[in-house]
Amino acid sequence: MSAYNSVTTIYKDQECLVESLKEMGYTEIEVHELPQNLVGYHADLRQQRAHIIIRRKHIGNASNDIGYLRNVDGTFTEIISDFDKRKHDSKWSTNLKAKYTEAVTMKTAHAKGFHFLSRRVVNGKVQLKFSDRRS
Amino acid sequence: MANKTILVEIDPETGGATVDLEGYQGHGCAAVQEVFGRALGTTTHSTKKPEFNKVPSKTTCINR
Repeated sequence: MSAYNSVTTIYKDQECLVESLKEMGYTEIEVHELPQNLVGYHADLRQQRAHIIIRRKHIGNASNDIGYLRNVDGTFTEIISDFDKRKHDSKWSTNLKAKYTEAVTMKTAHAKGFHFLSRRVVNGKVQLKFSDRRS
Repeated sequence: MANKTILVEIDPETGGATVDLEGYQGHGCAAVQEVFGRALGTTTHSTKKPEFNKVPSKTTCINR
């Protein structure tokens, strides 16, 4: 073995983020080239805008839209109202991040030509193994 | 040539990951680390193993 890295995940791949949100149960997701206003629970337009939006009708009757705004540096900022953080709490966010991490890992490995060997769950942790057959 | 494998372990407590490289020698693994580090986010901790500083053996192919 030669190296061991710990990586903190940051959302910056739009495709993988949308895929992960779908895995969390939100199948109706809007993706916009330009950021659009979020809508509040009174059907009021909010000041906050986002490129990736889950409309409130897909979340709950009293909910607000959830959004992800793409920043200038390509990273995404999550926009969730205080009310909706009751359901979309830190545990929910961590689950989403774990799914995103897996999606990005698979996409990156495929793009770089690494050969997928296995996916295992060990002590609750997903382990993805690849071989590097490049010369 | 030793088998080179990459093990990515995702922590359900943080959503982050650890990337463990096996079979790499020399600084070749740094490029692989960078690939995953850049794709996923930011590298918060990095540990070089003893093999990191080994010079990879050179293989010469002779066509007959």
